[in-house]
Amino acid sequence: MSVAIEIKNLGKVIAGKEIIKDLNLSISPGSIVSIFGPNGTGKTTLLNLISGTDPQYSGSIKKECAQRINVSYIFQNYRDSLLHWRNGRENIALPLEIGDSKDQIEIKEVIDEIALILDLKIDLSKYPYQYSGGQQQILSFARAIVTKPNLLLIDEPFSALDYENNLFLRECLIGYYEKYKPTIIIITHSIEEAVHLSHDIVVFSKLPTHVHEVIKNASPHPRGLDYLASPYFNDLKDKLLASFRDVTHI
Amino acid sequence: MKYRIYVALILITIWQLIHYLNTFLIPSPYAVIKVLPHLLSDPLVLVDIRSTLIRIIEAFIISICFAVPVGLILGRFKKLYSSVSYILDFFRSTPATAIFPLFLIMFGVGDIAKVISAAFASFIIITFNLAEGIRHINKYKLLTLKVMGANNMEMIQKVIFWESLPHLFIGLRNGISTSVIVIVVTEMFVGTVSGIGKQIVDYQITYEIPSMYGMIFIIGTIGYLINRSIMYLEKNIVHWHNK
Repeated sequence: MSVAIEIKNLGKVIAGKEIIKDLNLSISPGSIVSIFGPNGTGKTTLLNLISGTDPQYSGSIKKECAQRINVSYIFQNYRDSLLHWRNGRENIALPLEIGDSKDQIEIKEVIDEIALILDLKIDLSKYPYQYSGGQQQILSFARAIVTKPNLLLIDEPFSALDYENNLFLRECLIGYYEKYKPTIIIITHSIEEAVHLSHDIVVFSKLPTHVHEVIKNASPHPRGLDYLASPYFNDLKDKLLASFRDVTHI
Repeated sequence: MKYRIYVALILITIWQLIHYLNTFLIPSPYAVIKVLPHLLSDPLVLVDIRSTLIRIIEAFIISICFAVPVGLILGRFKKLYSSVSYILDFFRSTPATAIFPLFLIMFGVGDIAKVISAAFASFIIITFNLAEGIRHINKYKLLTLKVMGANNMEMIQKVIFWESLPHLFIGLRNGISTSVIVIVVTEMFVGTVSGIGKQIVDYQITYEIPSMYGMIFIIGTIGYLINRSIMYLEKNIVHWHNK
């Protein structure tokens, strides 16, 4: 069961500066939502508020789900969030060791399953500092989905990847979405990624941030690579670019 | 390795040249090397080495037992740390040997005063380094655990302990060096029955200058080897650091 999120009149002040003001947003359960907007408009702040890592805000954020809400958050600083004293396998296993931890056989089975879903071709006995930036990002992604979260928050997931790995990880994300149908919120600076992955693209205004526009993408998932060449994809890209230009006056 | 040998040869040459300035007070490198086998086969000197080593190890273990929990608590609670950090700084800036007379009055001339002095000095250093290490733990690692729903104990077990290890090892290396210094200096005070510090003073009083240099060389080697052992452990345990 995935999570519905209702954000009403959200406000956030950091160091006396109003970052977010009267932000209203509805996120349907089981949808992929991209947050798109200029730099420094509180996109990461919004994810921190939704994830609960930052509990100080005005307004309301309601998360509703018939089951227990299981949140995973992939930080933009994915390298810093990996534990460098644990090898790849142990890093992926970390969420399974928290709380009602699973036994080693169970953990092995879950990791093998994730490796299969992601078609992981990296040696999991290595330590994070022995991986390339792209492999570290894939490892962060694998760790984030190992508990099969019903709410997945991702902050610029593909920013450090070359185009091949970028497409690979996008396909992994779509594959995971197709299998478990979680609610996914992605922050991205790439128009292509936003249109390829999302059902809704939320365009942020300049500071103090509110929702400038929500662009709907009605194309059904799974959207394969052919989708990137479709006229509908290009129309939406143009529409998103126009909305972004409205905000930034470029 | 080649350059290390060159540096050693240059230093020995300089030593030999200085020796010619005052052949009595500055023995030649050869004279010191010649006396070492005699010192190391002398049962009384071996007792001195053993006594000093036991005191160093005792002081070091005691300091770790107190510094790790205290450093952990100070590092975790910012307000508490800022309330007591000036005390740590004060004692960090005060030579432990200056406090030794106080411990002598409190514990008498036996081993306890020496060990407590060294343990105290080492405790301050290890506590400071550990607390600083914990205060500067990468926030994303903690946030990652927080999102996963980890409790305080899990945070300590999975992240804080490991993240603080590089700083703890810096504290351990400085702490053991300080323990060696304090133990040897306190052994030079009146009332010491055995110890390298006492033996250095005895050789100085009796003008057995090469033997005095020999004992200095022995304690220097012991300190160096202990430090290298901790560095070896550090390299293997904290393999990820600076990578």
